Amino acid sequence: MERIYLDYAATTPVKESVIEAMAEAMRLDFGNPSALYTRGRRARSLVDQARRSLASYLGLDMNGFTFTSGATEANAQILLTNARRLRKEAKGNHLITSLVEHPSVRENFKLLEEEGFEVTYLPVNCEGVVEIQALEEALRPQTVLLSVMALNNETGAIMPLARIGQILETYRAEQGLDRKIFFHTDAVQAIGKLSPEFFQHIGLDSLTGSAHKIFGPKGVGFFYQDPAIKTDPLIRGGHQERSRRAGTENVPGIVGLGQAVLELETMDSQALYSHYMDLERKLYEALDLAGIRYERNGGPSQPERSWPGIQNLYFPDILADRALIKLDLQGIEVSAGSACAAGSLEPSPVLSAMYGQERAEAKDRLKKSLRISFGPETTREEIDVLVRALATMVK
Amino acid sequence: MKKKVVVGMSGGVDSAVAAALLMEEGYDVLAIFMKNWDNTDDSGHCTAEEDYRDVALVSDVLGIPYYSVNFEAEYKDRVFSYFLEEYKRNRTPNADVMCNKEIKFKAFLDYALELGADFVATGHYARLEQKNFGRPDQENILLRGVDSNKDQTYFLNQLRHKQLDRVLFPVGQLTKAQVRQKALDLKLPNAKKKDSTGICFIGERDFNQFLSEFLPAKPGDMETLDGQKIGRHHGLMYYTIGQRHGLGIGGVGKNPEPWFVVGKDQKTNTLYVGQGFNHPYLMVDRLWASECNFIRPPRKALPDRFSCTCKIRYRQKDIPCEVEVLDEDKVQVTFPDWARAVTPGQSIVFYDGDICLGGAIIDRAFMGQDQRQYA
Repeated sequence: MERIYLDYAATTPVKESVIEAMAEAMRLDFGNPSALYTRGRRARSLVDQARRSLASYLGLDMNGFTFTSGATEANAQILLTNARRLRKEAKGNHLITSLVEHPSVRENFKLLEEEGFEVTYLPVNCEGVVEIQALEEALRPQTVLLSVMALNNETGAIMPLARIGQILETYRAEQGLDRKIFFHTDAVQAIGKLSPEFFQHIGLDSLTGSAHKIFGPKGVGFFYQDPAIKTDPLIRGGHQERSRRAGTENVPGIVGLGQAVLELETMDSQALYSHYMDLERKLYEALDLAGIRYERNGGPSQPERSWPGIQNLYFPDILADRALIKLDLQGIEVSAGSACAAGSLEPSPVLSAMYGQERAEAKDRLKKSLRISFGPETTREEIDVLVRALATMVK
Repeated sequence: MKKKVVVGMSGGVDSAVAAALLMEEGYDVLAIFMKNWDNTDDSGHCTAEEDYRDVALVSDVLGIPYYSVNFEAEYKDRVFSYFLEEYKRNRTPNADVMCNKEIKFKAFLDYALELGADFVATGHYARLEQKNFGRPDQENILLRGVDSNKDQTYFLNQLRHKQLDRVLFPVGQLTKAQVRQKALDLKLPNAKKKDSTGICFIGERDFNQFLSEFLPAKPGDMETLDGQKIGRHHGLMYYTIGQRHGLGIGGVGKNPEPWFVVGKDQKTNTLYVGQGFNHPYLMVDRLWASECNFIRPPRKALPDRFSCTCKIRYRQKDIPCEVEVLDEDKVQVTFPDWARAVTPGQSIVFYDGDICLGGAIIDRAFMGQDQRQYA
C-alpha cells in the first residue's frame, strides 16, 4: 500500500543529498573533532562548515551556534542556564512565556517554577497568536527572560516576534533598566518556513532549531545564543563546542543538518508558499464538495499570521481518535492533539489555550480536531484521497 | 476476504497469546490497548504506560498494528461511579463484572465495530460454542474455560448473547500453562510477565486508603451478635462478609477460634463479628438477587424454577442451588446444602455443567425466615 504522509510538522523525510553527505562523513571522516592530528581536524572542519552554513542561512554570527542532540536539549540549555544566570546577575526572578509552547519549553518553565522563579504564561487569542496586551501587562522590573515560539507546531500560528522585541526594548527604556530582558524563541517549526529575515534585527538573544523538521536527520539540533552573552553549559564534561556543550560531536548528524540547511537555501520559498496555499484551497474545496463540516482552528492563512502548511481542522462530525486509526488503516498519516505516555490522545494544551476546555463546544472541539501538515511533495491527489476517507467517517 | 478482529490487548500474556492464535487461524488482527484509568502516581509512575509498552513490543513481534484508546470517561461514568455507589451502601461490588459489561464488551466492542471489525477478542479464559436451541439459527453459548482454575466466566455473567455473537475467546481452549508455553515458543516479550492482580484503578496500592480518598469513612463499634463490644471498626465499607484478616482482634475470651465478619448494620454503624469459619450467621439457605441476566439458553427457554449449580464468588467451588425467577430481572435462589458468606454486591453466577447460564447481583440473604443483616 502506498502510504500518504500528511504529518510534516511532526517530522520530515530526509533529503537524498543529506543521506549522501552523512554517509560520506561516516565513511571517510570518522575522526574525533577534538583530536589534534589531520583526521581529527578534518572532522572538526566538517562541523564548522555546517556551522558556517547555518550562520549564513540565518544571517547570524557563526560564533553563536552550538550543536546539540536536538531542539529539546537546545531549549533546556537556553532556558535553564540563562534563567539561573540572570537570577544571580540581575537579581530578577520573573520569566515570561506563552501557553502554547512546545513541551520542551513548557516543562523547563515548570522546573524553573519549582526552583522559585515566577512565570507568567501569556494567553493566546482565538487565532492562536500571543496576546500583546497581556505581555505589556506582564512585564515587571524583575523580568529577566522571555521565551515565545516563532511558529506554532499544532496550528501554524505565527507569533509577532518583532512586535515583542519592540515592547521589550520600550519597556527597558521606560524603566531605565541597565540590562536587556533575555529574548528567546523556539524556532523549530519556523526555520525553513519563514524567511530568515523574520529573526533578524528584532532583538533576539537566542533561538533553537532541529534538523529533522527541515529534511535532515533526527538526533541533531542547535542553539544560537548571542556570543556576547556568557554561555554556561548544561551538559558538562569535555571542552567540545568551545565548552558550551560537552560530548563528542555527532559529526554525521551535524553534517546532515548542514546539508539540509544548504538545501533550504536552494529551495524557492515563494514557490513553496504558493504550493501550500494551493493545497490549502484544494483541501477546503474538497471538504466543501464532500459536504464535510469543518473549521480551521486558528485564523485564515496570511503572511506573518498563519502558515498554510499546517492545517488544524475541527470536524464537528468526526471523532479524532477513531479517524486517526481508520486513516492509518487506509494508509493515511495525520495527527491529532498529543498522545499520553500510554499512547492515547489527550486534549491539546494549544487548543485548550485557544478555546478553553470548559464549555461544551470547546470540549467537543478538542476531541474532534485533526492536524494535517503538508510538505513539498504533497499533491492535490493525496488531498482527494484524504477527503474521500474522511467522508466515510462523518456521523 | 479475511475476517477482521480487534484484540483488546492489555500488555499481559493472555491477550498477547489470544492475538497470536487468531493470526494462526488466519484472521486480520489489530490490537487496541484500552486506557481506562489514569493511575499516574506522585512519582510520575504510570502502569498504563508500561502496559502499553508491552502491547507495542508484543505487536511488533506479531507484526500487527496497535493503538491506544482512551475509555477513561466511560469507565469513570459507568464503572467507577457504580463501584463507589455500592461501597456507599456498604456492599462489596465487583468492578470487573461491570467493566466487562460496560467497557470491554460495550464501549470497546462498539468502537471496534465502528473500525470495521467483524469480532473483538480478549484474553479471557472462557469458551463460546455454537448451539441450536430448537430454532433454525445456531447461537453462541458461553462455556467455562478449559482451565478450571482460571475460568473467568464468573466475570462475564452480565454479557448479552448479542454481544457474544461478536466475541472470540481464543485462550479459553488452553490452560494457563499452555498459554505461557505458547508465549515462550513465540518469543513474546511478555511471556514471563506476572499476572495482574487487583482492580485496574487501584493497582498495587492499599485498597482501604484508595477508598478513603473517595468516600468518608465512619468508624464505629465492632460487636458480637449478642451485643458484646469487641473493638472498633474503621468504616463498614472496608469489610466484606466472611472476611477474616484485618480485624485487629484475636485472643478475646477463651475460644481460640479466629474471628470473622458475620454481618453489618448501617443503621447503627455496627460491624458484627463472630468466631469460627462456619459461624452460623455466615450460613444461609436462600438469597435474592437482581439484574439477572440469562445468556443462552434464553430466559424464555428456561422454566420458572430450575436446579443448577452456582458460584457466589470467583474461584469458589460450584454449589448446588434452585433458581426461581421472580420477575424480569429478579431471582430467588435456594441452597439445599446452604451457602457460606453470601455477600451483597457480588455476583451469583449459574452453571449447567460447563455452560455459564448467566448471573445476577446479590441483594439479600436469608436463613429460613430470618433475613441476614449483611449490609
